Amino acid sequence: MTLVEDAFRTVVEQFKDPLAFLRELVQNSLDAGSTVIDVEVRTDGELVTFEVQDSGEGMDRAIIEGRLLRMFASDKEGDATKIGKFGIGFKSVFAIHPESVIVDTARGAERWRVLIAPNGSWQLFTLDEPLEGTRVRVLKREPDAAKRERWVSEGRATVRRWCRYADAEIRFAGTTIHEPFALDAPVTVRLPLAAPKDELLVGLTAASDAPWGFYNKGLTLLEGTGAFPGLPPWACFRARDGALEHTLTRDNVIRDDAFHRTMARIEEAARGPLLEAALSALEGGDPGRDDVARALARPAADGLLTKPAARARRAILRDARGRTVRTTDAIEAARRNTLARVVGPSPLALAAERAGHLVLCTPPLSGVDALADALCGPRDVLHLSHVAVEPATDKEQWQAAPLTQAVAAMFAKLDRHLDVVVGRVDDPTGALRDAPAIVARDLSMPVPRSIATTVPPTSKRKKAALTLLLTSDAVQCALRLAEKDAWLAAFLLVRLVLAGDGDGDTEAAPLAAEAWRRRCGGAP
Amino acid sequence: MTDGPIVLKGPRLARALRRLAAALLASRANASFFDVRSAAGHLAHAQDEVAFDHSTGLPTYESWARLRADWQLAHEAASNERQQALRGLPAPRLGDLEVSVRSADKRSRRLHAALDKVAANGRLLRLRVDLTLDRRVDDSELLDLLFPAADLPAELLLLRVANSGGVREVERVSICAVDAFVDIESSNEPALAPLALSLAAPGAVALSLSTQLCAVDVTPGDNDLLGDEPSPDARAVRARLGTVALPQRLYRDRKLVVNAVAAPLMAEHARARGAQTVFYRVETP
Repeated sequence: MTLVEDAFRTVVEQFKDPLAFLRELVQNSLDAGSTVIDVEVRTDGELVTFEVQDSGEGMDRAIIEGRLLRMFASDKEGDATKIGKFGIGFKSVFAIHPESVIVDTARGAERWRVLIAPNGSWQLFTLDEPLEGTRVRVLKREPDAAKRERWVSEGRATVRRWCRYADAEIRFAGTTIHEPFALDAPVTVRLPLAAPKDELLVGLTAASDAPWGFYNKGLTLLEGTGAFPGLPPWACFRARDGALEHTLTRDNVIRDDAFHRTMARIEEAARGPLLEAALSALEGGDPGRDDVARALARPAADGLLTKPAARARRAILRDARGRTVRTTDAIEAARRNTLARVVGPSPLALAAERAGHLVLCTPPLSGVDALADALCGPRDVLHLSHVAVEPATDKEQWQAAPLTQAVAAMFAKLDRHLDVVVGRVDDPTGALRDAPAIVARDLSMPVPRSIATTVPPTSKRKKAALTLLLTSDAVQCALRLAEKDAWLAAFLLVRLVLAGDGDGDTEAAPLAAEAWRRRCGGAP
Repeated sequence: MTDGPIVLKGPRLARALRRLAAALLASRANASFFDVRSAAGHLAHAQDEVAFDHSTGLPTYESWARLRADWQLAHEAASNERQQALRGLPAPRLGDLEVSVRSADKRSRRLHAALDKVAANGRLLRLRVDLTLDRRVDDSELLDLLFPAADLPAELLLLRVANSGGVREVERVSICAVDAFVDIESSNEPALAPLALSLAAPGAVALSLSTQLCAVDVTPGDNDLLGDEPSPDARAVRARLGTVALPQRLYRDRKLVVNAVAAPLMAEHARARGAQTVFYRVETP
């Protein structure tokens, strides 16, 4: 074995995927100018046949003897319009240890059949049939039926993995495997390169397993997922660039000037046009804006949405009424501690607005929530710490008047001066589901959840307001009882309120006496 | 038969365009040819009436110019489904040059140039030249040189390019053309039956694609089953091919897309000419 043959064997054996030769043959077909390439893997008894047929320029004897069958001989080196370079593409068929390889090809007035044995020896015959382009058949004997089937399925998967973005129509067993060259990301920017069809797709992603890939004429050179070394973690990309090249072993991209130029452009795009596109998507009514916001959280945490200053003026957040809010305003409100975050439009949001807060709508676990955390610092939504009271209608107040007046009188007896009304509580957490009433100094403001059920000290000058919650079963029972006996209903209700307050037992005796007195018109 | 264009409308037009598009897609035309996939896409969206050249059976240049105008309109404002579909297609290339740099140094550029052109008679031409140019020659000068010469036989084109100022070397010149389309229905329907293909069978559908290649590395030959006599000029150039002055050699070929009716007739024709013609089959839509 010569030194060159030895080196060639070493290279072929290093091919990670023995079926990668299908990609190499497709690459040769593309370089030959074919726009339609048919790939097939079929079985016949113990024989598995891998076939790649194109309608490209084909080969004459000089090419067959000089370049197809000689190690490391390629006429493509130095030609930027071709993908192949090293002259090992075709020879990779030997990685599968074939029984034989048959190449039929036509170029100009020449038509040839080449029979190649496993040891690399070959015979050349003239082909006496019309032919366009080149047809390569790789025959492998496989006694195991299950393995034969696996060759077929893996052949399809291999062609799809390596060739799905290729410039030509590539068909596997008659079915096209072509997919549009695209990136699955909430925001993508396309940057054309000098050569026609060459372009960079740079996407913004929140996923930790977002894809990246390098391609030459649409053929896959290298693909992967997750953050790419040297790039910001929010960037994913697909680079289609004729200047990129495979390593000899086909498991990586050569880190040459072209590679570094491409990576520099991707990084530039990731920090510039991509972020601008994402901000525009957030400002507009993009239906996927929550995904965009989630993906923007990481660049926001790095301070890239506030520098340059123009970015900070972009109105990318929304308040509870759906109005846009500028980043600078939200950050400033957070600094002054006047920023409130709510899960959506609600009485609590309006109450917070009335209290002078800048209210951002940030549903929990949403992308907007993550973005607001990154921009303004983590902050609980207002619903976790506060509730708001929604007064009942006038009609409901009128219907409940006997009970509310009785309750107010009972509390007055205890020297608690309360305005009593009926209403509902805005409490999406449901924590106050069973509470009969909410107490607050000012019911138009958000009520801290921690003191919402505690009756505060009051005086005739400094009253508080108590809202009996119509959603409470106890209040509903009391309202029904009040139709017959308002004082008993009030007594029971006030006891319930005070029980929640922790004062139930100490206040029980005077309350019972008052109820009895009111009910019977005298002392018990 | 008149020499004017054959104007097809309505269902006859739709059938003819469907068959032409199917034949184009079945032709496996490689990169040496006009982009047949794009051409088929545009033909699918032709409307009202289309004029076909009587000598080629192909839509005339004017018809393609209309398709290009439709495409441009669609890009300005796509208001319906057809215009949306047109927006997804590349522009019809009526006379567009694409230049790729194969390598370059301080004084020269080694280029691959491809010119797409729709000839007046509807032939879809792609002219490809691999050549080395002085740095001072820019792409527009190359277009000026190639565009008027695209209809010439390849050997005359080679001579013209090789003798132009600023051209250092010409490795290869090829002219590949979709050059004839046959679609014959019953005698009552207008037929697209260019004489060159000499097909007169009702039900026949055929598409012809020719190749002329002048290159230093090609084995010369003539496998064109419709090959005609060269002009005296062309004959004179051919006599010089393969010499030191003109080392390039000429190869001519033709492949056909045929349906079941046309296949045996054209196969017989190829046998009679001794041509090893590649046939691709198309089912008549």
